[in-house]
Amino acid sequence: MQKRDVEDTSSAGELLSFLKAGRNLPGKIRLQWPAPYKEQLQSSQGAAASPGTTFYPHPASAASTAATAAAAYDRPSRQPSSSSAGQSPAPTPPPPAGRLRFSSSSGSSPAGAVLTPQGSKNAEHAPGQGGTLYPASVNGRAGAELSQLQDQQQGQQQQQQHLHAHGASPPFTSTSSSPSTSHTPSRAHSNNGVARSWPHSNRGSTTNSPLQITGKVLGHRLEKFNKLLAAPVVDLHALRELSWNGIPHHLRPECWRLLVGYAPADRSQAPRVLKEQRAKYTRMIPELYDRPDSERSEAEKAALRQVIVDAPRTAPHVPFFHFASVQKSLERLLYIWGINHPESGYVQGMNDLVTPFYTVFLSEHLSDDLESWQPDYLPMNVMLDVEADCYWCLCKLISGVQDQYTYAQPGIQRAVFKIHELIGLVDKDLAKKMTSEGVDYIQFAWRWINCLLLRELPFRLSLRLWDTYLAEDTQMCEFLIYACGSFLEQWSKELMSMDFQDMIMFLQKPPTASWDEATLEVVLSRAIQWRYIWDGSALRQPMRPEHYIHGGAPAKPKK
Amino acid sequence: MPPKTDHDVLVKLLLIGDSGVGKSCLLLRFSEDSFTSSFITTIGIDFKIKKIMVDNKLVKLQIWDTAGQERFRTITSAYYRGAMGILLLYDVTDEASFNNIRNWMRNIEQHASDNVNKILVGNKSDMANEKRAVPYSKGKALADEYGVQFFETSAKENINVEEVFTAIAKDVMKRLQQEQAQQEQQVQPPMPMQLSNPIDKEKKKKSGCC
Repeated sequence: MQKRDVEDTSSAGELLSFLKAGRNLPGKIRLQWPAPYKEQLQSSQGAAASPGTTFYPHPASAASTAATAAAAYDRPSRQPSSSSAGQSPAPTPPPPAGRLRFSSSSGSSPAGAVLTPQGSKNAEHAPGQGGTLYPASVNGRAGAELSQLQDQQQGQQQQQQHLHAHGASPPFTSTSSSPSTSHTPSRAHSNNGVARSWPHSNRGSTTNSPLQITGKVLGHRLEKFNKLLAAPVVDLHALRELSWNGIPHHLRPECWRLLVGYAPADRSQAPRVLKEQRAKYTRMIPELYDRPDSERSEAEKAALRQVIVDAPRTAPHVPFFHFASVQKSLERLLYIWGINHPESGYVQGMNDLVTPFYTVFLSEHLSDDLESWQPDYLPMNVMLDVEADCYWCLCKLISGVQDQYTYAQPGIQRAVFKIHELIGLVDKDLAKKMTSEGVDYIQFAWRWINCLLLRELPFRLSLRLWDTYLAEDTQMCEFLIYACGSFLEQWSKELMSMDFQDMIMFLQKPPTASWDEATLEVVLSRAIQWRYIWDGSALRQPMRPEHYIHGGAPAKPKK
Repeated sequence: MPPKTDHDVLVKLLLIGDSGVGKSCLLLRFSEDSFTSSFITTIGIDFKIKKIMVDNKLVKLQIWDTAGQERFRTITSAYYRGAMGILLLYDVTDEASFNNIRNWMRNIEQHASDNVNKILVGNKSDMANEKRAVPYSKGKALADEYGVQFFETSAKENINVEEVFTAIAKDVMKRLQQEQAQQEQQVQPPMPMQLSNPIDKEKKKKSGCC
């Protein structure tokens, strides 16, 4: 039995390393990653395993998984269990190649597990019951940290529930992650929970902010970032892997440009390429934007009208977006984007998608205190460079999710459909409850997808969210489905006691005002965990034509 | 035993109109009596609830607010069918939004129930005369042409907001009562007023007629 345990542990290590090598697996995921063996899960969960959740991996995907895993071990640079976040002080050494078993035994592929929706959660609180569910490192300090994090979060949710029950609005706990921290009403949020105060000024404090990476972790991660960025040719794969868990704020502009593929990995080429691209954008302004209305087509006029209406409504609670120079700049870049992408044109919500880019690229030229930003006083050429960078980054970001914005928004319909399916797989109770209350996922998840969850989170977290999205690269579109599912699952407990009306109201404005990066990371981590579990499952099934809404055709008069 | 309800009648309303005419602002003024000039764009659909007294009955208004941009027509038109009353909004300072009312009307014909109640609303009536692009008479004439009520409102100054929602609620209730009376005349078992939300299939079956 003891021998078996040892084997399992190393196999789990193998799984982790292949995941890390093959994909952009964040360090934290490993903390809650369930062991891959079907029988292990069955024995540990016993009757709790729901028969309906049995998942049969796609043979091709299982095979490629094994191949990837094997390939991963051939790479000398990979440190299978060393934590990129530096949280696991004693990494499991890479097991000998002979220990790889993914391809040799049936049903032992990492996805070939029977899971209950809360399987991992239950196991987390009882790691010793009925067999080891986690690799050894998980049961150590790092696992405890995660458990503590989730406890904190539960505490926060309970607090919020309590306040809801007494008719109070959810608390804003400043930027602190600790539920015991006193709330600061003076920093109270606006309706949709956007932070009033930019937490840059908290640098060095213990609070969470976009800069929040403290102590050793900061030093360790910062060192890794600096090392990567100092190379003549940046290892983009490594950068993605590292960035997934958040980028130190002062490195974001540089990292984001690299991650989206706007700046070349070859550092010596970067200044030239950026200069060219910025000049290219600047040339488009007179060509496309600064023209008399008489030269515009009807469609172009409508597009211009739309961006003029929307620019002032962008991030209404972030002061610097209200400066004339920024609004004009948004108007220009969104209009030009729309003209250059006629397959979708500008779609409302894209103005939201620019805001993280705008904030980050502007932060290169302004102080830390976002509240005090006065972009109107920046030189014109600086503003134009920022605008150009935003434009090209927006192009790259949207290119991965283009069909979310084309006619009838099939990408959103498909994503909403898959979120629905995902919840059916991971949380049957919630799925049943939502069906019985008549809640349709498009009633709330449409906006989640359309704005990539940006509207659901406080503005200060949008940069952290973007770190992960940009690190996901071409898989962002798929990741978003899991992220939305995970975000919904976050409220499962609250939703179970609500009726239709309360559910819709709640999901339209989920109480995330008090969230910090750690809370967001729990959602993101669960998302990626689900992706590894369910990738290749029913979620891979194409959406059938009858699932699409075919409404929205241009109105024709009745005969 | 039927579930205990907190209202006598449920009326489902839909707000449509061009982007930026003030649909969300009008709804915010009505449901929360507040106004903000820095509003955020509506994506897809939004939902709000407000209870009002109409003819000594407690009426719960379930109001769906829609995105105005053409691209969201796919999702918004899915909500036409369930609406009992539709508020068509334009901006009195924006002639294009007024001209588009005809398109919105066609959308209703295409997607909504045949007998849905409608009301025409010219918003931003607080704006100075020199900014106004659509005179009251033009709005009234169009409303008369379609045989619907007409209001000019200001979400900012809280002018006619309560009135317009009460008016459409009254219209809907009147129609529902008439329909109920007709059904009773046809010696059919009395039908309960449909209280379900549009996608609740179970309840839909109970109140369905075919």
